[in-house]
Amino acid sequence: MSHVYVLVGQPNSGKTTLYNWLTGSNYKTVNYPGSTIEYSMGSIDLKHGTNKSFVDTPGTYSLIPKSPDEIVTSKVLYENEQTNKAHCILVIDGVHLERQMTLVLQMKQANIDFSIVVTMADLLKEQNTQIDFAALSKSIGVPIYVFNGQTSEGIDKLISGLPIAISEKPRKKISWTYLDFQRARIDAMEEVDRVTRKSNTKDIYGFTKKLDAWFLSKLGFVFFFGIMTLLFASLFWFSAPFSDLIEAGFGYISAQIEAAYPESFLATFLSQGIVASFAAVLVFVPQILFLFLGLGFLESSGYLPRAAALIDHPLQKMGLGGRSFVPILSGFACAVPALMATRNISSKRDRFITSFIIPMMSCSARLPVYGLLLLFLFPDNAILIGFVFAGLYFLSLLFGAVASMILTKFVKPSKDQFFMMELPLYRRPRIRIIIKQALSKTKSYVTRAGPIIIFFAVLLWLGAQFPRVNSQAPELADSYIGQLGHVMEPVFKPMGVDWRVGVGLISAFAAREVFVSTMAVVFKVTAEEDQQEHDLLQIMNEAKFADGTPIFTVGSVLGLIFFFMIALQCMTTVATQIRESGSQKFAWTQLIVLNLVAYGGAVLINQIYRLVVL
Amino acid sequence: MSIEFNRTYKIQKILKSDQNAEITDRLYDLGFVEGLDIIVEKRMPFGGPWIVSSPMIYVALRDEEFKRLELV
Repeated sequence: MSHVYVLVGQPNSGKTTLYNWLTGSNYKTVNYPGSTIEYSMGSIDLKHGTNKSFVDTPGTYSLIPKSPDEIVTSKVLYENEQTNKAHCILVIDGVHLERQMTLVLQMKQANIDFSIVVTMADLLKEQNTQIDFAALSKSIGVPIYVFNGQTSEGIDKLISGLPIAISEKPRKKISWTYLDFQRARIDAMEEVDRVTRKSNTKDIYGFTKKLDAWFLSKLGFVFFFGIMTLLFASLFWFSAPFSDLIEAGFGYISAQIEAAYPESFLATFLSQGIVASFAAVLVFVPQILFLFLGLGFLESSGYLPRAAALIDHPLQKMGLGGRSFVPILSGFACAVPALMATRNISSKRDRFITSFIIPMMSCSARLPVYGLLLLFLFPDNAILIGFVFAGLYFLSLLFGAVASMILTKFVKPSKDQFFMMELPLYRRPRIRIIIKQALSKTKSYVTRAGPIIIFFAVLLWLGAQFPRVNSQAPELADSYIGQLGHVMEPVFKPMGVDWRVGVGLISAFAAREVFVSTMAVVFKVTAEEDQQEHDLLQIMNEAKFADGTPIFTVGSVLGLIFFFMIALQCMTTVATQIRESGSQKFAWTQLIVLNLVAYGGAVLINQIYRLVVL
Repeated sequence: MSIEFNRTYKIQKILKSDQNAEITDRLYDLGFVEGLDIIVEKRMPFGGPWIVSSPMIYVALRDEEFKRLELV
């Protein structure tokens, strides 16, 4: 039988580092039932034994919860049947022992059976501070273990000391007044003073404050934009070769299948339906992995909370806060991990608004679409296209800001509306842990979002293959997708486009970038891939409605760009939104609202163009 | 009261607000109590958060959060 232990601690206490050492790679994220937040559960690293499991809870400053993360920790401690009697491991940062002792007192009052693990002992040494933990343990009546997060020293002693028996004492929910806090602080101060010996104390914040003199000054904005640009540019630099490799690999597999079984529907289904759908999922994995690695590096170094603090005031003007910064930033790569990153936002209102505007950020899937449409507008003008490209990024931020400002008028400020960002010491990033966590998050994306993309991609492919004509795929116009396009043509017409572009727009609901390849199919471009874009542009220039008027005008193309900027077409994003917000209603409302605004805007742009120019 | 940077202040009182009591409660959680010595390190550019430190914490506080600390 496996014994469950719950890790509890304040943010930045070193809890997750201990958890990673305890579990090795044997952990998975678990959604708290009915909640938007996950906690992580893992079995003990096999080199330490086999019969222990650990739960890593979100960081909490107190047992009286004030944010969604803290509510999950409280539920793990009090409500979850698997964990509400489990022995707890309270992780305390040794450098801030006095402050964190209030949590010790709260745990005792709540009748929670626990041990204490003191982390960052190396910093205590650096600070010339000696604490008699044996005396402290005796005085408060709780076992204390010292653990070094860099070397894992102390972990064996902790594991062998963990109790097997479960305390049956019922846990009490506590409620503290200011006087309770004041009394706890005095008790903690006396207790810590009694067991602490300091000689020539060194300010361990010295180096951190020196760096902050730069990073948190006006120049800090220059560093901030530099670091962020580097982060995103490197996403494309580093991931491109891997994405190309994945694409080439799947292309090779598809070609082999079709070559081995020509004329076989099953082989075509496998190569163009299944294999191509897998490729559509996996081609973005390198980018997502590098994004998580980059964010993990910045977080582990201690810079990310500072970036959030720096950008807090400008974001407040938009009705958001500094904690929304990282998710919005991630939205430029992919909305899926960006939505996951909103878990760190304590304010429900900020989290709601941030989640709403994330899909409006110009994610990487929009790039091929922008590329095609901008080439149509500015043929042979690469420099201008580059500037317009950058402009679209800023424009999506601007649209996000406008949407946020509108939403703040409707969403009341929530009670948990506070910032108070603790600024941890700058530390050497723990590469091993960063890699492990990035891999785990990427795996989570693939396993959860992947099936949805594959399902829709296969569905669309089948829609284009049926009904069969003499056992062959029909003309696209006669296929189910084509028929749907014809039925919906009156809807697309006000945007200035015909059923073929409509099919492209429908297919983009599997993945936005599918729009370009669908356009190539519906406009019957037969050239090799490198020539495809050129031929497609030529056909787009010549494409006409039945009455002879051109389909692709500046108005309709600008409308299409606006549509793609605002529309929520990515079903993976919708699925992730449902999971993260815990609300189907919110996710579907967002889908409807964003698509209606996108459609309305595209129609408006096209109609204004027709009125003014034509 | 004008605040000087890199100077030690004592928290005389933590002011409560009916509008958002959570701010005061969170300040208690972070270890801010009456009588505590803190250093106001700086204020971030363009009216951003205040940076406050004590032996227990190094934290960025929004103006409305910082104003809850009555300092002497």
